[in-house]
Amino acid sequence: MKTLFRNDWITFALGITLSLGGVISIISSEGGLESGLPMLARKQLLFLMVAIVLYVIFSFINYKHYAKLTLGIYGFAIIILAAVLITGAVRGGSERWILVGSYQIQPSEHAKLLMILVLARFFTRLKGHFNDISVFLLSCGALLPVLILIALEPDLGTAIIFMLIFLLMSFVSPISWKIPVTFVLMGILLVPAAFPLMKDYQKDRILSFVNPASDPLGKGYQSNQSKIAIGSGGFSGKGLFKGTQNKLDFIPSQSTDFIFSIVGEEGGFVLSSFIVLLYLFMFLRLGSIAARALDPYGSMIIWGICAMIFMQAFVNIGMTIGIMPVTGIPLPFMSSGVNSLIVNFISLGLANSVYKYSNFPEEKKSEFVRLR
Amino acid sequence: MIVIRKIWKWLIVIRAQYFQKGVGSLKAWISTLFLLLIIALLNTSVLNTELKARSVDEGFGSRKETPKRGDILDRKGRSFAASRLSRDVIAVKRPDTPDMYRIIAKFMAPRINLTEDEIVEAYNNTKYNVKLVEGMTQQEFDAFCEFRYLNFSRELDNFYNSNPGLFDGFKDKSEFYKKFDREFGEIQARKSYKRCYPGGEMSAHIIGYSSDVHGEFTPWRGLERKYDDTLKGGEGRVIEWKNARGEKLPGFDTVRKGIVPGYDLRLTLSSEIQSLAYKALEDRVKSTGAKGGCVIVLDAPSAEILALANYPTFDPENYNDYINLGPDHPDTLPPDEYRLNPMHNLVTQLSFEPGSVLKPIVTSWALENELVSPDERFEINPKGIKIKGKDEPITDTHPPKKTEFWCVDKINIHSSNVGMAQIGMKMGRANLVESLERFHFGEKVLGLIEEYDGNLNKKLEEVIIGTPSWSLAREATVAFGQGITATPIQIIAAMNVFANDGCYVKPRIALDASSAVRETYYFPQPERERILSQETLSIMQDILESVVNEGTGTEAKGMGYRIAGKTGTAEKPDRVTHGYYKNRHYACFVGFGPLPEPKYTILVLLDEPKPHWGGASCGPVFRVIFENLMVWDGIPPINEKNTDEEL
Repeated sequence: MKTLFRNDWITFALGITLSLGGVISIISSEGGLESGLPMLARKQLLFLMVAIVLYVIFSFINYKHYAKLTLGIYGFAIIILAAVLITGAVRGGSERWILVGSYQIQPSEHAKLLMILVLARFFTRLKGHFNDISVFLLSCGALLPVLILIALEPDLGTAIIFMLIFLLMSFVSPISWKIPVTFVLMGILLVPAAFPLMKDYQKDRILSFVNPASDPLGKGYQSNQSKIAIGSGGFSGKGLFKGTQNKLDFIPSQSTDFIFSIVGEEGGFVLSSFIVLLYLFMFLRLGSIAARALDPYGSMIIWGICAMIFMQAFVNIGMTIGIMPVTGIPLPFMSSGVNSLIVNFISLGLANSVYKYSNFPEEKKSEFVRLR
Repeated sequence: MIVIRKIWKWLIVIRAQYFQKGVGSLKAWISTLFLLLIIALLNTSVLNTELKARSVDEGFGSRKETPKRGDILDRKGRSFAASRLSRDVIAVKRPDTPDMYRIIAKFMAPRINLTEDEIVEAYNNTKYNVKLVEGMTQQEFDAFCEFRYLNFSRELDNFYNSNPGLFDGFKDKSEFYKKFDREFGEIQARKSYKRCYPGGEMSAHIIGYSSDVHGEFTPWRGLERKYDDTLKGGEGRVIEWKNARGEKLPGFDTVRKGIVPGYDLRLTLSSEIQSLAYKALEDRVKSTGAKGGCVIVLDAPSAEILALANYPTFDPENYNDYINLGPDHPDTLPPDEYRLNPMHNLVTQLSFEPGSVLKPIVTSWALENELVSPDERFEINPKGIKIKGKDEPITDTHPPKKTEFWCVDKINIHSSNVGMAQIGMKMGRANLVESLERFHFGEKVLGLIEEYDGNLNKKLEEVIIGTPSWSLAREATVAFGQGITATPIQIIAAMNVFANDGCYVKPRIALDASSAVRETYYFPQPERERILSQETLSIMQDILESVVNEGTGTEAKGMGYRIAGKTGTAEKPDRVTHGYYKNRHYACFVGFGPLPEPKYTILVLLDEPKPHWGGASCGPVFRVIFENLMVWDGIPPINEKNTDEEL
């Protein structure tokens, strides 16, 4: 009973706020409310409710049970990722979705969360038995099949997010921080070597990131249009449902990957920086929970979730203003898309579960309560 | 001090945040990352004004639009140059994908009335822009647009399914679609204006010509170029609220910004008189074996140019065929290779030594300023007159049999060089130059880009100090039209003074510029400068009338009309020996009539005609044009005998 009322309302409220903001942006991208609530927004609202139910369910499952299921979770992740390659639907040149009825399930989204659980277990459990480098390499080995499966889809952006999650988790894990840092430095040297192996459009994306003005209607088109939309919003924006660049479909995927450009155009700098601050606040809150949780497994789960949400948020927003390459990464909570929304709320549920069931040192907990 | 301490304390705290052990530092670092994101956002949305401008002006929804270029009309509104709407299908060639041309051709062929091979050939034959179809009707154009922009994806799907063997080179359907879209996206339906010249070769020189390459319109010569700013209008933008798929959005109006249609330019030219002048000139050039010639018809009281014809001429719509047909400066050619460039506008681009037609101009100035009196006599020696500094004596072409004493009238009537040389020397340099300048020699008349100034042979020291540096010999020769150069339009403008009440009026060609959306602009009337008094004028008119009646210009005499004029037979300078050719001439006649109130002034110039005399070769052209004009104006000829009897 004690745990029933111990909930982290702040992260939940932040998640709901961002999601509702996302719904409003989706309505705007579909042309406003003139002809009723648009289909896409209706779907998003419906699945927001489903996601809240899932949030509650996952909040009340003690996260410590997952530790015992690690191998099963890992196998499940491999199976769904392999399934998408076998039965997946092709869209825009890559197989990312499994069709279940009329809904598309995107296993790579779900696999993120599953892999966070697996990696959290790896980093905490193996620490006592192997030296640091071995732990790192073993975790790496666990991640590698997943990365290969995702790269086969091909979905470069998600693979990069997986790597970022892994690196951040290994950085905060009990093993020495020098190992992931060394790994990153090696990676920086290896990326140019991997360049010839990439697909044409992947190369184009990286090149268009380096010089987006080179081909305004071609490869850098999305990025340029999004920048123009945000730039046209100015300081205070054009007003709700009054953006023109978005209405005219100039920004491809404006309700999914480029939803932030709608915020930037209609809400201007004021609203878009407010949204960024909301993400930052959510991160700080989750970070506080993670830092104070005595159980390293729970702590690692929250760090993984942090990495997932904020790396995606950073890369996505960076991509809309042209400081990051264009990847198919959605903005957490805001982008239209069932899979991403559900996974994000389940992760908040997991974090809440850690908050509920993890032991906090008493003196720190009181301080923590005060923070609220 | 306290403040610094506090800041220092804060810095220590912040430093501790970033560099603490364990995961605590992560929060500081990631917060920094997000703050950097906000700064980048600030830059994009607020500080970067260029982006803001682009969303409005250069976004996908707006495109440049060139308005219709104004027409060039004659004084009654018939067009000499017009812009016609042309509906085309154009494509941009990508040289790196030759295998796509055949597929594109197969896909397009049933839609645009071309065979596959023709389309592939069109691709292969050009470097960048492929013009697949030119000049469609509105229905064809609409049908093509529907196919191109609305039903495209469905058609492509059908096409893909019905031609199974064609796409073996592609890995799968999506690759084909991607490549095809890249290629097909370059094919566009386009409406544009095409410049055409209904005036054709008759008015080619004065109207000018233009080129339109890849939508880049360039006026090259003539009025097209001079009045380009008036004709072209304002290029603006069309903002069409289309989404990125090319569908027009309901509820958004198409906005047209800054598009101003060009003015229609109405000229003083009359297409009838122009045709008449051109025809008369063409006949005479052919019958005299001349290399070419030109005719100008002025409305005498207003100095409006009614006709301006050149021969040989060119087709302004295909001017490229004529560009290399003749040299720009034919005078530099040896006599037997000499030919005119058909694109050379003799009226403004022939700068020649005018010869005898200059005599009445110099004479009138001398009379007006009382430098010479009407009854002053000059010795006309048939052997000519020897002048210091000139090896050969100046001689006459129509000398008296023995030495006689002539007044200015007889000198002009018989076109005596000997007499004019004496008048010139009597006037002196300053007066000669002043006379030429008052008659506006040495300056552009029409203001065309390609127009020549003419050369008064002013030396540098003259321009600075103000005294002409001519030798005595030059004074003598300028008086009868050698040693300076002038263009035909300058000569007729100067001669028009005698027909126009002693006033110089600069000939003009543009009447007004009208437009449907703007107020009509009337070009200002040129100033009337009084140069000659009534007495001088009547003396000069008598002299010039006598030239036609009894002097060198009798061939120009019309039946029953009182006309006046002056012939000119200018020897061509020999650039090798610095003398003059004995057998190569510009023949010229300038006349006006009917007296006593002249209506028309006409200049006829022929290049190396046979006979080479100005009166004999050019007079008939003048007569034909003048008589026709009189009939059109309903002015009956006066029967001279009847008039005499009444008197």
